[in-house]
Amino acid sequence: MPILTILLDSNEYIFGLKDIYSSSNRLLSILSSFNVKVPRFILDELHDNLSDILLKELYQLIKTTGLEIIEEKVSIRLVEKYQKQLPVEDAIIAAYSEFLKVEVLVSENRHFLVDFRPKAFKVLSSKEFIEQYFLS
Amino acid sequence: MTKVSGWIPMLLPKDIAKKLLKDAVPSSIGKRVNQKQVLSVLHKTRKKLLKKNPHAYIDYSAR
Repeated sequence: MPILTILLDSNEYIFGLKDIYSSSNRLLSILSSFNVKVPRFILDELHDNLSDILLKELYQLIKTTGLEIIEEKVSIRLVEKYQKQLPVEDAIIAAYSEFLKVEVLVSENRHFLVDFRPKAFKVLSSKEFIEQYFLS
Repeated sequence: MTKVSGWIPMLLPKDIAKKLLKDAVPSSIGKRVNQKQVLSVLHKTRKKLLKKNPHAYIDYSAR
């Protein structure tokens, strides 16, 4: 069975590493079962919002679970496509999800979880993702 | 991770207080509020990153 390709929004790493939300924390512990893409944009956000200690934990996670850091830029056309439905700061994440051909974008962001149903990929919360792809 | 109680003494140097808050693990009571706060902070960071250097992430040549 092919490995599922996923993209985690920055909030999942922050909720998981800071232990703010148990599903996000659980998600980080099972990432080695998936092909996980990390765009540079997400990594820069995490650098701005995590302490040195938690950044070390993040890089340990990247190293041990083989997360793939993506340096490529996303096309403005894709960003504009998603800007019709989302604020630009969320549209770029949706654009990256399509560009990287991920099957699932995992996020706790309500802009993604409420009334946003893209054709190119699924959007799930960490709890939904674990229930659908790990526990089933 | 550093566990702190509900407040940071005001006399701490600003950078140390900020770091303590960054490392802080919220109590279970505050978790719900904390999620909203984190999401709000992340939105601001995203806006800032995109405003500061959009060319680092977006390929405008495709237009």
